[in-house]
Amino acid sequence: AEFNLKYATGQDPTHPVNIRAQEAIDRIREASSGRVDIKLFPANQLGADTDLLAQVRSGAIDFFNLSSLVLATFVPVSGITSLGFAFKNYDQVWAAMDGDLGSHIREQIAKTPIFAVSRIWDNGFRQVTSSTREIKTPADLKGFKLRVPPAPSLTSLFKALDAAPSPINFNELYSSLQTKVVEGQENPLAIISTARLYEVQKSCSLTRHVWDGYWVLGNKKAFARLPEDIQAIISREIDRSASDQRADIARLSESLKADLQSKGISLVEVKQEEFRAALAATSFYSDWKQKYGEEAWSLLEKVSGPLG
Amino acid sequence: MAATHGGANVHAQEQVETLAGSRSGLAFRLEKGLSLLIEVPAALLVLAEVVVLMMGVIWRYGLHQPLIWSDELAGILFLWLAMLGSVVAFQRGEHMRMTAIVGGLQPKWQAFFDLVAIAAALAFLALVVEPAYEFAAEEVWVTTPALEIPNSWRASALPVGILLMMITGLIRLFKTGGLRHALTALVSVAAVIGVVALLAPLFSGLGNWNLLLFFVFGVGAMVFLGVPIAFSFGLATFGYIVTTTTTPAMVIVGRMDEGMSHIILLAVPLFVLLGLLIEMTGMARAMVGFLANLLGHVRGGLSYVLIGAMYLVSGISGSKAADMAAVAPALFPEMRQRGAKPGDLVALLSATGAQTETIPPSIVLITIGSVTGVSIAALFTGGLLPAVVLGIGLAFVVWWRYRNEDLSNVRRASWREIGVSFIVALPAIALPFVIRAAVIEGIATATEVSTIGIAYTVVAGLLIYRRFDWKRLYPMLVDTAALSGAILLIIGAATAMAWALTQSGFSSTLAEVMKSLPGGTITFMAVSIMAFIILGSVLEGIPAIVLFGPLLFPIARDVGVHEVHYSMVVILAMGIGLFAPPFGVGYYAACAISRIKPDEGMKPIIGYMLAMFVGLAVVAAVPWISVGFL
Ligand code: NA
Ligand code: NA
Repeated sequence: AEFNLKYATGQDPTHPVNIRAQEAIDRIREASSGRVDIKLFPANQLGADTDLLAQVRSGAIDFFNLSSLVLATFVPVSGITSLGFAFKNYDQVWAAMDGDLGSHIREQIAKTPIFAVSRIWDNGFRQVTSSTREIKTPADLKGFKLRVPPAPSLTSLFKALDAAPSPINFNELYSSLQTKVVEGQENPLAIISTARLYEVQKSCSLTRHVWDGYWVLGNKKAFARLPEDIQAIISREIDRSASDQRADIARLSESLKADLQSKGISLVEVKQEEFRAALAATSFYSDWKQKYGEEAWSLLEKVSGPLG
Repeated sequence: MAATHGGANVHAQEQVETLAGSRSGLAFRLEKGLSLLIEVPAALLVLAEVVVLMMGVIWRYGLHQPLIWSDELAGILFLWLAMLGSVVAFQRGEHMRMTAIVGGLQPKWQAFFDLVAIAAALAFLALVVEPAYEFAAEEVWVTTPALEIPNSWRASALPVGILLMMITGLIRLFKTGGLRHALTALVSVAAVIGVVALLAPLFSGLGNWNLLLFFVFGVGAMVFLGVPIAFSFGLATFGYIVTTTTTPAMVIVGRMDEGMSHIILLAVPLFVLLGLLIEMTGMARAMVGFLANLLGHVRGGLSYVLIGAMYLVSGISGSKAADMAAVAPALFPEMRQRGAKPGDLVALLSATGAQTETIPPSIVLITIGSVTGVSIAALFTGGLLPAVVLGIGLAFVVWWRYRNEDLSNVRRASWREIGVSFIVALPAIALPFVIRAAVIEGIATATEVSTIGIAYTVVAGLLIYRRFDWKRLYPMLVDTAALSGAILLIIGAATAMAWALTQSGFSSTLAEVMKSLPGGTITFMAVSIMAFIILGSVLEGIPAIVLFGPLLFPIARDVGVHEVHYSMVVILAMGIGLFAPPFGVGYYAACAISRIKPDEGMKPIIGYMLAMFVGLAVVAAVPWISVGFL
């Protein structure tokens, strides 16, 4: 083809991220009459997230699907979407992310060599699983050893709730849960399912403590080299897949609950407001407010209501 | 000068170099100062890794207050350790090379190719030093998540290490070759690179045939001409990326970064250090002494111990190089003293590396589980027996090779002697069980557990065996760094090479071909085995699985092969490729760890590989071996 581009993701091939990315790629090929050929590389085939971020910045790859948690290492404000117990439900999430907060973050990303190609995709609300005690109330988290990714928004959240967060490498997570190096972990249901963590866990508490999204990042220079009509097709189709992928995750988060239960995981409903109250009693929200600054914070509170 | 082996050799070489060095006092002093500047921090980094990981375990398991930053700090220090270790290895000429062909030439030509090896390495370093600087400079904008410092604290290990290697390399080149020969070597290498650059316009029309050109012919030629493995991979990858794609060369540096400092690989230097400690404290001698009393009258006895030890250790660590590092330094010195041939030892070590790929917990199994959706628990169960089948094959070759071993002067030990040596060896024999228990009880992860072994060995050495030579500690730490550098640089370069292969998209073409073949299950299995042996050899294990798992598992399902069965066949085939010379990275790791020249194992490994191939055919033909216990 005239334009050969690379699109990398870190998710397993069957994850909706990849299904919908591939659909977008197929539609782009068709709409451009075969002028654009994008190759999809799922499952970190081209590298781990931190290196893929470097690759999309240098232009070694053209598009890259990245969790806002990891993007925060490069564009700090993007971490604000993963603030503990900020969003109560998806209505709030999309109001913020398709609204002013999302635009603000996209502006910040575009100040670097990369940009957000479309509206944000969905990774889902993160939930806590355990192989020992069930987590029902904030008190149950006291001293609870759980694996978290090494992201400040998550480590600070669980520290504030008196848990014992431990940033174990994802590669070692399954074994570490099996031998109980840690008692639990936290991830969206889709990851708990595809990484088969339910094989080594007993319960899943529907804490929805953090929402996480995926930005499809593009290399600005490489994208600018494409003709404008091609640029428009790419943006349009990836944005359309964003909608489809969000619907997938919404469907999955219901069906996966039944699925996990059938695999012997007991689902535990929790009262989110108890956790939010426990957090508000600490300096958690005021600390983060200081980090993210007044502007981003007010955009968030416009949707979430006053925090802390 | 490939891997140095045996103290005498090193000594002779040093004398030669000192003589040459005295010709130019400045170069000599420069090198001396430089080596101190590099070796001291390298040794301290090894020590720091032990301390940081141990703190991680103590705070998490003992104090129930996991440290957030321990993994990240260990990772940052690890890249520095790998790069400085590479410099030390370069200075000592310890980067793995294949001298099977070059070694047979006249001394004059041999000397020439020794210089070409250094010059080619210098060429790669010169080509990537600028991209490496750029890479590190770009990482200023990334903040590490736990320590919240700029990521260039970590990434600058690459340009610094590369620059130091260049300086070291130039000194070595001119010291060993003298001005005229050194320049000849440099010009020859530059001429080859110039020709490739001139031909570049031709390559763009070749499409994916370039993969064959660069990664089979290019790498093959360089490896057999004695260019160190890591630099052969690096040069081929650089050539391919620069001449056939529009990708910035910086990607090579990024891939080396990730490949070299993957946290699970941290077990490699730590197990290497553990092995050296076991040897230094006399624990290895006690352990082997007991085993020799028990099995000394059995032909090839200690070789069976090696097979068994690898099976045992494989269950502990997730990484193959770490498994080998846990076994070889403890067993080999004693085995060699008892007359084992180095070539046979390294060949068997490499073979056991491939044989034990399916034993849980293994990163390969976990990767298959998550990219293909097969139950990881089922894979863990299914992997135990196939490894036994291949192990029986290896044991058969050992029996055959040693069947005529002359044991007439070996006296069978009495039960009393066996009993006494058992008691002496008991604290040493307990070590693998201590390590295993620490993993099973969830005290430490596979990466961290080596530090528990180190603590145990230090205590046992000081209190029980009363043998702890403090003077040897510093050289041991430097050796550990150099060895790790030699292994990790190969893995880093192989990771960059895998990126180049992956981005070409050749995998889907290959999967299409395999799908369209007639003959159903049997053809599909046979072709899969051949394909994965080759893929394992050029791509390394994990990249091959991530790339082909999702493409081939659905086909396996269609032709009615059980997924767990297919996983075992694929992993073992890949293992054979990974540990087979001349391309297999695993083979060179085995050579580096056992400090044996790659040439020596080339012939002995053929028998072991054949036995494993037969074993693999049995595993492929009898599904029950893989799925009987599910
Ligand atoms: Na293993
Ligand atoms: Na290889």
